[in-house]
Amino acid sequence: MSRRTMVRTACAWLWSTSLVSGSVAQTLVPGAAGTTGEQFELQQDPGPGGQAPTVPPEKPSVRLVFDDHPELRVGDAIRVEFRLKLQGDVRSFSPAPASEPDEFDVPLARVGIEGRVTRYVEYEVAYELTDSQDGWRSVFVNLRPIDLFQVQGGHFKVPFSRERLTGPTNLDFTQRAAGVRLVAPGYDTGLMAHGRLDKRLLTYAVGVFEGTADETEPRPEPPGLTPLQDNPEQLVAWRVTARPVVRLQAAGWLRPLEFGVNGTHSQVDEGRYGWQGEAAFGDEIFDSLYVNGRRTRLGVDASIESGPVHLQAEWLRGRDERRGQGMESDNLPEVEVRDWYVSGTVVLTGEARSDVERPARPLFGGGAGSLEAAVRFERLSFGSAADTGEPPSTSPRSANVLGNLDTIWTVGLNWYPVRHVRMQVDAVHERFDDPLRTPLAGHDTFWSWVVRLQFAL
Amino acid sequence: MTAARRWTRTVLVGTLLALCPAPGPAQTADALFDPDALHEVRLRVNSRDWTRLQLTYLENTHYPCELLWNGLRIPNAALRSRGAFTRSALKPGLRIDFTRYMPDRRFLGLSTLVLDNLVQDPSTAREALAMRLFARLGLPAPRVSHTRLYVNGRYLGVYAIVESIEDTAFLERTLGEHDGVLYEYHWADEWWFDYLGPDLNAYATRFEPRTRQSDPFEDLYAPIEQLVRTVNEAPDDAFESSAGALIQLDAVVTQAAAENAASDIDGLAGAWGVNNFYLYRRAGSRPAVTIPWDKDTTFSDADFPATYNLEREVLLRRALQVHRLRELYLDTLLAAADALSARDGIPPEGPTWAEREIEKVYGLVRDALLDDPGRPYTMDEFEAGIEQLREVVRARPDSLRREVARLR
Repeated sequence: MSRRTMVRTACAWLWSTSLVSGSVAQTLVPGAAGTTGEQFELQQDPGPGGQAPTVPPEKPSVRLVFDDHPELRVGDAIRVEFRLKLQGDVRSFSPAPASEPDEFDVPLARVGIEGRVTRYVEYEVAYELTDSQDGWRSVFVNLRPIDLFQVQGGHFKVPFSRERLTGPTNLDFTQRAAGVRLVAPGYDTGLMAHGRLDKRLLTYAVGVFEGTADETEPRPEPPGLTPLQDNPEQLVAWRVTARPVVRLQAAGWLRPLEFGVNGTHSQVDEGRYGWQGEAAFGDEIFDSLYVNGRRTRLGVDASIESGPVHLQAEWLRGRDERRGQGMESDNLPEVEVRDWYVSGTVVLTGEARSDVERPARPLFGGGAGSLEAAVRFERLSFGSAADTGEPPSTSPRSANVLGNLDTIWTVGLNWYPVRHVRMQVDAVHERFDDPLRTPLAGHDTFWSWVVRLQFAL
Repeated sequence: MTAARRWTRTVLVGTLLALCPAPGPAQTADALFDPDALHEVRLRVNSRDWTRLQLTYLENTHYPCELLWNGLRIPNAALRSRGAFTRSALKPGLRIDFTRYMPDRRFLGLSTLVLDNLVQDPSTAREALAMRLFARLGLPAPRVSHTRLYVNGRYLGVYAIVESIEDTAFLERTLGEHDGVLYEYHWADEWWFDYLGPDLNAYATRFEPRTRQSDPFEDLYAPIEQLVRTVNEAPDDAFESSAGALIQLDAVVTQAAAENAASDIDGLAGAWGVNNFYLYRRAGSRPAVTIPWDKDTTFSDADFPATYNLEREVLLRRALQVHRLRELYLDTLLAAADALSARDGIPPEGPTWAEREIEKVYGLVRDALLDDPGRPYTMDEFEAGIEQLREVVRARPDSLRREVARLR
């Protein structure tokens, strides 16, 4: 049985289990701040006014309601929320990269549904219209008998990297951190056990995935050449987060402080499939090397959202083995990508960060909406994991790899004029250590500007 | 001084001399191109890469390699298959680039090196002989030496080490500069330097920039179009000044004469149009120069016409209508004849310069060729090739002198 079939079988089992489960009135609320942003927690429905109704109101068995977004309710057991997310960008570059990127872009046009069937099963299906090759994003079912132990199966984000697990419409900046985009695997098909203690004191996730992010396009070898080593791509990922002072009243504004640590373990096929470094807007700055063997990712992160302020930091490292890739088929030191960033936002109009999407004084409602300032500093670097003492070079079989470093400053303003709408303006400054490996060879400093209009239902 | 003291001093000096390390082999570009030595070059390439290069020898894919020569180890160089009609899977012609993965690194001051597989010339001596003749005539010609080549410890055969024209060190050595634009001429069809029209793409298919490739297309090819148009359309009385402002006519005429003196059927006035040359547009507004390349089909005929195809090729036909340039052409033919037959202090009954060059190559490569696994000719064919070369260089000087006398 293939892994894909196994995953489908698991999903079918989870789905069928849900249909025989009981039902309790619930509603969906956004997930814990700073995590998935696309996954939702189930909470007991408090009813209108926040108090449990004394007399159950009579409700039709099938209802279409519109709160934050359209929602179909079938009795109390089934809920289907309809989601739509759109983003449009206007971009400008100085100097213009050699790749001549589009000045207008639609990075996101996503439709989907999500909801629950009884209290024990959640699901989500999302399709990205701008991706004609493989538009499916979330297609999963989550079974939650208890909060501490849940099982999720299907196609969803691998539990790695705080920022990667944040949905595209909830990011503080128009661009993900360049290193996060490169190192974190993103969507994959798999099966994951996860759970949490009360108030997210501790969360965990561990899963097995197909390893789509590390899969390589099969390249036909010329006749007469022995096939390249085809390693199993299966990826094992884990993530643990903790809020060590969340129950400590004396910690004050530090109580929401959350730390995370995560890792993945997989294999890369033999070939020129090593980390391919890309700058903030996707231009190549580090060419793939010959690799073969284990691929490991490791990351730690921290985040705190308190009042109008949100601070976040993350450190990531990815390593590829290079077994038998030397001149004499000898093993070479691992090739490594490292990234870290710190970012901060502050809501200038006084709302709490968690309410910034719902402006207290919206445009056309007596105000001008919410305004948030954001800044991020990031360093993304590539090179050998060990120093052999040999002069560094860009040879794909070099023992000592000539690295590159991209230092990125992003400064932005996020404006939330009304609910569901956001406008972002970002200025991105990049400086590269190797002026020959930049978006435009010979230039080591770049400015980019992005204006994004977003609608998220 | 007593005998004992003299003996003691002798012993001391002798001991000191014995303790001093003997000077090692020179590690310079001059030593690498030393024509008096059969070198030994070793390459280390990942075995998969080498197999792939052999299987796809018609492609120009680069592979990492390590070069060892004369005690020097050069890691992280790049290697690719090269050649036009001489590409071979068994004995690939190779080009080694020392800067591809380390832009500031040089090997003996060189950024690239050509390893000519010598599959087209059973004598193995034509390329070296022609280039050394051209150098004697003052042309910018690459240096050539011979080597045994080993890849991953396996003997691949006898190769010629040829100085790459695309190397800035070559341009600096021969022209005194390297900031201009160097174009490699690619034979596309039988072209005699006639005007191809204003569309720059017609020139781009023939002239490939090897330096300053990132210059704008217009900057690269508008000057080529202007050169060809001027050569074709300039009035007769203004040809020398107009065309001469764009291309160094003396150098073109000298190269054409040298090639015909070497009975080259595939050069500036070749049998199939212009071929086998580079064009170097000097920095600033100084006229461009041509540089000869790939001369392994030379010295095939002692009575090769000294004016071969000069009437067909527009640039040479018009240049030789200028009296001064025509005289330069004839003088170069005579200089070539003198160079080939030069004794350089050797008695008249001794071998000429050209004969000595041939014997030098013969002595160096003969034994190495015996076990050359990629040699596409027999040893009898090698011997016959050398013998034919000897006969051509013996007869060629007088043939040239007769031709010049007739033309004057």
